Amino acid sequence: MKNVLIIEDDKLISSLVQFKLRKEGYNVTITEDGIAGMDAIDLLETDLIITDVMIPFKNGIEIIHHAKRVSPKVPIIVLSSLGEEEATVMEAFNLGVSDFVPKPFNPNELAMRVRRLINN
Amino acid sequence: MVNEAGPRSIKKLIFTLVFLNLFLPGNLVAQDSSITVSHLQSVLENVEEIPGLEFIIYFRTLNDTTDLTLLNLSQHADSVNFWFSDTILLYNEAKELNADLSLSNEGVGSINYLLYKREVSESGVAEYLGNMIRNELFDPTGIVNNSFGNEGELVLMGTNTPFRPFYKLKIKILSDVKMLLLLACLSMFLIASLILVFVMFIIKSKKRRKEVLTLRFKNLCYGPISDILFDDDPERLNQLKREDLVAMFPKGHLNIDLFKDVMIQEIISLNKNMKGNFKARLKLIYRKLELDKHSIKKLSLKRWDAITAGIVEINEMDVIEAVPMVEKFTSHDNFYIRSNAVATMLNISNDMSLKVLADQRYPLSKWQQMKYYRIIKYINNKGIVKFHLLFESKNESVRVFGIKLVRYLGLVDRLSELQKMYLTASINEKIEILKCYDKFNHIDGLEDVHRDLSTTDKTLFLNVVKVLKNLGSEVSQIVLMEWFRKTKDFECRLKILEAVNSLNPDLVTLRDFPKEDKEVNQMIAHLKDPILNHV
Repeated sequence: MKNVLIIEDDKLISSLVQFKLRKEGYNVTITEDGIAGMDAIDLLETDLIITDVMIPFKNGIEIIHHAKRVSPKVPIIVLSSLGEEEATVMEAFNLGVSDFVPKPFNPNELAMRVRRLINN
Repeated sequence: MVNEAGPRSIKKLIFTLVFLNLFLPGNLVAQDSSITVSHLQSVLENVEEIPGLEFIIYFRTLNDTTDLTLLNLSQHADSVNFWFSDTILLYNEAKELNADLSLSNEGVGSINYLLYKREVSESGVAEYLGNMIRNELFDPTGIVNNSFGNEGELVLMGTNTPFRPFYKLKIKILSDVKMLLLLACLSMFLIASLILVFVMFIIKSKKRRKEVLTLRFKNLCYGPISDILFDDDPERLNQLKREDLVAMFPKGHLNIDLFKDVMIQEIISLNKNMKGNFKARLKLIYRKLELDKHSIKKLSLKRWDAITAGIVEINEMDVIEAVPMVEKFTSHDNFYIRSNAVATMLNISNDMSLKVLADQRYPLSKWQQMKYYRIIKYINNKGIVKFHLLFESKNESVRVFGIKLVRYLGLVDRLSELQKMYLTASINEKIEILKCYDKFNHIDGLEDVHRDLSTTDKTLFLNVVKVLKNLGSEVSQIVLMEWFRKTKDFECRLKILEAVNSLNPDLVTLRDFPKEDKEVNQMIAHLKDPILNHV
């Protein structure tokens, strides 16, 4: 079973994505802030990371930096609102994130992107 | 009524008894500290020396030959019959001397009182002693009775006499009005502080409890909402009855207002973050769980924040049937209620005439304008919005907002309407109309614009010059140069010169202006400098 790590402070969104991905057959771990997210990247064997940009304690860019240093091959999906953090999202792409899903989003579409990235 | 009268009477009786017990007259009466004239002598006989009090004997002899010098009496300078003694500290001594004089001589003697060397009457002495007693400087009960022969008897008497403080503390406090007032103030302050702390504690604990419950309810929401949203059969949700949906949530929770509030918040949050058919599903859940009724119910509450929350929920979840109820709040004096009610009406009422906005009595703030603009932009994409009511509004800020909308939404077909409005428009409206002319290069209204160079309002003047700089004609160049000569304000002159230079650089040359006008020379030098003219 593939492992997906979600770093998202909105508990409802993370729970919904978790629910959807579990139904798709993934093992999902949720962390609600940047520090816990980084710890999870260090400790868990993750096949894909879904992260928000605006999260407590660390921002999404720091997490992407960390993830790319610790496990460079793990694909990362950024889940955020493009309008609010356009420059940050562009920076995230430059750091090598695999995909960007803007809010509002369709969970089915997100699940599809997860499947595609993990299978690749 | 009869049955109630009994307990009431008992309560009254108990209250009276408690009151009397607290304020028994006996407790309030201080120990009698007065000394009467008749009682004075007996007091003086039994006391030692009293500070400030002395005695003197006056003796009037019947014979002129009587000599009392042997008894240490002095003769009065003016009367051979009148003799007086030295001052005596003890009353008994004075009394003894007076008795001796009366026995051995023919005459009349009297004991007189001196208070700090001044002669006073008996009543004066009595009053003096009374004051001393009240100030605890003299204790008549502490009279040393010299008749007690030995120490043993004195001790025996002391043990037989119960100790009784001269002043009871509580009596002393109660008899002092200032102290009583001070104590009352302090007590009030203390009681008020205690009540405040108690109220704060209750509010805080209630708030804490609400936070804990909210968190708990949020956790209870996630599972059922996820189940419903990601149901594999999309048609199943439509077929589900309310009872079926309610059964998916913890039992009885959907009767709790806080749980409903949490549910609504979570559904609205998801509605903002989700797209596709999930939005429709969320709205269906909201309706089927009758959360719309909960939102509508909030409109009848008295708290402004509850009403605002209800309006926001109605707006977010498109509860169209609540439009007549929301409409009542569009002229509410509370800013948040009014703003959200107008926003809701614009969003869900499907009224393309924007009447609700045109009828606004209060001036629109920038925040409101931004909020309404986003909604109007959205509804303008769905259908034809009629803006003329905004231009005809009695509220100037609404008219100004209407003109701004022409610019923001690119409503070029409204420019002719604005041109008609221009002559009768207020300064703020004119400024916005000029911005529209500038943005859409509308040169038809330039004639009216030229007239406004004579305005006394500097902002309007500068806006006129700015428009003429971009759209001006040859006539504009001439008019501007005329105004350049007339006006004295540096900024206005500079802007005019910039405008003319932009329209026709040949007009702005040093030869056309007097050489002695240094200010103009500097302006022209600035404008003609290839580097400085961009600064």
